[in-house]
Amino acid sequence: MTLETLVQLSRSRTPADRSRVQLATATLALSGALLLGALRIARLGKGDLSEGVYSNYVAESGLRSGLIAILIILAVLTGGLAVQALRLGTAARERRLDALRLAGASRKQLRQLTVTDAAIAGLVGGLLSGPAYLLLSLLFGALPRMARILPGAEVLDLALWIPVVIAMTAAGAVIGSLLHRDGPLPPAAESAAHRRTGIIAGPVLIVLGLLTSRYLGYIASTIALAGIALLFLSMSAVWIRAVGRRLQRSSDPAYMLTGLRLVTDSRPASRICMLLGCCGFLAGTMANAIAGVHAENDRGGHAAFYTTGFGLTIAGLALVALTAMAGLIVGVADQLVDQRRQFASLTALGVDLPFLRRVIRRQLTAVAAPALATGLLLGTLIGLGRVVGGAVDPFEPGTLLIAVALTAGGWVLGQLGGTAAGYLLRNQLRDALDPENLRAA
Amino acid sequence: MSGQPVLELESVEYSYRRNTALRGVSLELKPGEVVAVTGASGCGKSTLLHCAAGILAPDAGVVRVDGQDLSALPEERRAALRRTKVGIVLQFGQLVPDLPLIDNVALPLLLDGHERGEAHVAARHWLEQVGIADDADAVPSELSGGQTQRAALARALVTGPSVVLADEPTGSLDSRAGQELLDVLLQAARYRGAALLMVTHDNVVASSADREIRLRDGLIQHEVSLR
Amino acid sequence: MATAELVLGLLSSGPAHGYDVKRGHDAWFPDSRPLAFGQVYTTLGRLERDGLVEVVDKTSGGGPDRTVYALTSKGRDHLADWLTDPVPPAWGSADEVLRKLVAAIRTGGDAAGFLARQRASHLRRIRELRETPADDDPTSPLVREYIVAHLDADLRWLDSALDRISEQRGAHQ
Repeated sequence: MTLETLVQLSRSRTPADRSRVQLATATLALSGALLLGALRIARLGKGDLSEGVYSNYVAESGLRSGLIAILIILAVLTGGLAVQALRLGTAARERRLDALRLAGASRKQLRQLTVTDAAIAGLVGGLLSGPAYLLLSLLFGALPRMARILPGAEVLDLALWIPVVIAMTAAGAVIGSLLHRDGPLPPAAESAAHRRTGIIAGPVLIVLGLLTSRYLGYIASTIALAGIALLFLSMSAVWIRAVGRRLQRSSDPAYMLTGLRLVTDSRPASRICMLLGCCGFLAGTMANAIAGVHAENDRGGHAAFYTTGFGLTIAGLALVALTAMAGLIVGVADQLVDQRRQFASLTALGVDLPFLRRVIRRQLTAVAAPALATGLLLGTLIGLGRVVGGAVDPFEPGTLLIAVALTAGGWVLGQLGGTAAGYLLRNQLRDALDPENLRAA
Repeated sequence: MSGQPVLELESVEYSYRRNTALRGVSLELKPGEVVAVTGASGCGKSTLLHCAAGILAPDAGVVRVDGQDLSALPEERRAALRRTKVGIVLQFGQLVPDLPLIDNVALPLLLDGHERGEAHVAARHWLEQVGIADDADAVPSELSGGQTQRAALARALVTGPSVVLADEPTGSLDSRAGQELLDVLLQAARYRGAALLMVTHDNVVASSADREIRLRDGLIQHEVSLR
Repeated sequence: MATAELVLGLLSSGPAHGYDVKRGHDAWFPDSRPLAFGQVYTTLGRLERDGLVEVVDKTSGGGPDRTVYALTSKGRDHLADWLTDPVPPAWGSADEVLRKLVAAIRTGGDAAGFLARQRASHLRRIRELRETPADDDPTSPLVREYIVAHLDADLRWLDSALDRISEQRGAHQ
């Protein structure tokens, strides 16, 4: 295979594949921009800087490392979305790979194609990360001083851009290589044993992280977060199947269909569940911290300082959560295209658009609402202090109130997301129901 | 070389998770020979073809293409052998959906490391042979079932294989388009001098073979010469 | 057999000798068994007796091969009626294949072997038909497709008969 052939064949031009790669490229660009931000701040050196120019988060050397860590965590979270994006359209992609295999492509060649595809997405994402950073820094530069956490770009930052482009290309290649499978996907590859391991290992990691956070700092926080992610991933798999089974027994056909769809394809849903859960958890810890700051105003007297930090983090998390929701919606749209024939036969059985919208809405809310709510509840109850190893305030009854409010808020947000998705997907749903699809192969 | 079988299956066995598809099937294909494999649905005929193509690895038995034991080759070499010596046509064409026909047909050559221009010359020749040269720049979704199958046939023949394997090549077509495709298939295989193994439940397709092999429950029920 | 009506049809374009009738028939059905002279003359004789055809010319000697026949108006009406009526579906006519198979099974012969050979023979016939191109007239391709479709139907039945016999053999073992 010549290089020209490799590049030509790796770039699939089907509409589904194009949107998949665009989404992955966009998320990788954002991830790269965040990484650039981290590098840009790291370039400022170790000493304290003028608080007249920079935000306190950048100016104070102790906080600077924390900001860098947060930017890197956000970069990794958005990178996770790229993984999710590249996973879309599995069935259609498998068919394409099968056709290539039939034309005589070896397993190694197919792997090369998948890796090249993802690496190109990474390369383009990396190249876009520069302008994206520029845009973000301009945006943050327009905010009050305390919120100016991304310093403006300089010519010297071009030198930082090169390693980011390389890193994003490599990240793309690694994602592609991890996602590639040699054979056809075995159905229900996710075993019960896997889930059990996650359910046991998750809490162990959380407890370990929380207990050692005082001594290990960010390392412990990362362990705790990984625990949360693992727990959410395995719990949500169990939860989604349970919900699916219960809905399947319902006498309402809309519920029954929702259940069926959840049970047959629970993996993407549980991955998004994990992402939403983690976002909820982190946002919860921030909310708890804000509440703590407001409860005792004597802490350095810098309420604006704390609130800005936590607020920005929450905004960042909300961005990730929104993108995760978008990922979930795109995933559902993808399923619709893939299964349009089944949907068209539903038309023959008298299923109409409002009914199907109800099914999709339920499918989405059943995933999003509990994940967000549980994440927020856990995050608020555990609190930031325990996660990062800072001072732990005695438990306040007020926290419980906030936790309840946030949990309810998360639930409502999840519901709203589902409703919005139903609205956004109305055209895809109409297309999917088109009896014309009965003729398509 | 002439007279030596281009495809040999020796006591090939294959089982899926729940059922056994082949219980020891042996057959030989001489150069230029046309053989039809028939039998009821589920008799194992498609599995037989997939084993012969190297798509499935048999549980037991040997598959030889041009005298080379497929299972003895590493995956990379096996794919190369499949690309150059074996042409495959399945029921629905199975073309790459986003590639224009010319690239689809050139695909085996491109994967084999040929330059694009050179591969396109060969691809165009075969598109002409199967009568769809005018559609070279169309993508598969713009074609009829018959045209798709012709393109799949051109793709199967572009590397000059010694054996063409066809699984229900006319299965997705109406009887007229099916007969036209069958004629093109036979003509092209004859022109190329390739042996042809067709799995089919269509008697008209089977009638064009030199030999009929009938499978039942994963075994050869009978084998008759039609010459 | 509707040979009589076919002869009426062959005469409908104008008076003809018995020989022309035979040639016309064989041209209409090139893949079928040719019509025998004897059958043409007995048929024409019967049609004449029934008043459906008449003798319009008898040249030198007056042998049957020199007699020219033409349709009467009664004959023309009869032909029109025949062309309008659908053919009643056939009874399970015990043709040669079925007779042999039943006899083979009843007498303990090699029924499966017979069926396999019969399949091969049918398949060969389809190929013969496909390999000689049909004439370029309005009816020849139709006739060809009809025969192939019937052979195909026979082959399908032969297939299921083979399966049934194999099953029975499997059950007895």
